[in-house]
Amino acid sequence: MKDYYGYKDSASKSTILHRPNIYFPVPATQDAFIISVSKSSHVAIPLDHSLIDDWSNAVFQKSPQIKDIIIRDILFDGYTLVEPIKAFLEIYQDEVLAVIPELELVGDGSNMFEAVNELKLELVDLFTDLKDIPEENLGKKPRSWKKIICSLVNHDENTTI
Amino acid sequence: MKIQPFREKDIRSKIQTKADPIVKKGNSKHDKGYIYLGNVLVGKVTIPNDHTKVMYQSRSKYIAENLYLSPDQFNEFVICTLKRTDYLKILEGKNLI
Repeated sequence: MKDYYGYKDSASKSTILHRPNIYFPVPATQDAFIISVSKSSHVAIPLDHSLIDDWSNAVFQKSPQIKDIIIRDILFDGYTLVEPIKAFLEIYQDEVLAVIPELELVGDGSNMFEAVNELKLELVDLFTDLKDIPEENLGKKPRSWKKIICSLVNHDENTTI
Repeated sequence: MKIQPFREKDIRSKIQTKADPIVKKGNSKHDKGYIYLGNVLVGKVTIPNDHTKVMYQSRSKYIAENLYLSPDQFNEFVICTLKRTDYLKILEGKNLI
């Protein structure tokens, strides 16, 4: 603890410990932690344990496990796939992302099932949002997304699952 | 440089003000923002929820890519040093139409 020095903040009635040159939020006391915004300027943030856990998880997130998957059906409200779609999972300790890189679509969840289901809904939303936009109002990428998604997704309005 | 950890609500508000997308609520849990240059749709971005939760970099890197921003530019976009006019210049320089 010798790197720290402290003072009593009368406004917030918090004991604030200071450690110079720390560029991540560092839990310093039971009351506050410090973010250095430069070598001489520091901001004291009231301590919120859940927020600190969030920050440390976000800062120190480990590399994911990557797993290729194939989506074979959407199973949502009359939407079907004409052919399977290649996707992959990024599996982190607390979060899973399901990604279709070609369409720049990402579904997230706390496990792989949630993430894949969310990705399917993202796929339906993109199809719904793009299908009625005329070609001349689409830039390069959206034009490509529309071409791909319209060749992959079919919607039968009379069928509801 | 890596993307810094930001709160979801901060990313959300900067997307709303600087990218100024047309927001659509769909079936998935996040709103979608459709980014236009003039009357041409050039991009889409997932809009985070209005939570104080800090967004994982795993997720924010995709948001940065959707916004056509490098990690450095995304940090500036959220911190505020990159203004809307700067962002529009970046988009216009990407040959998106």
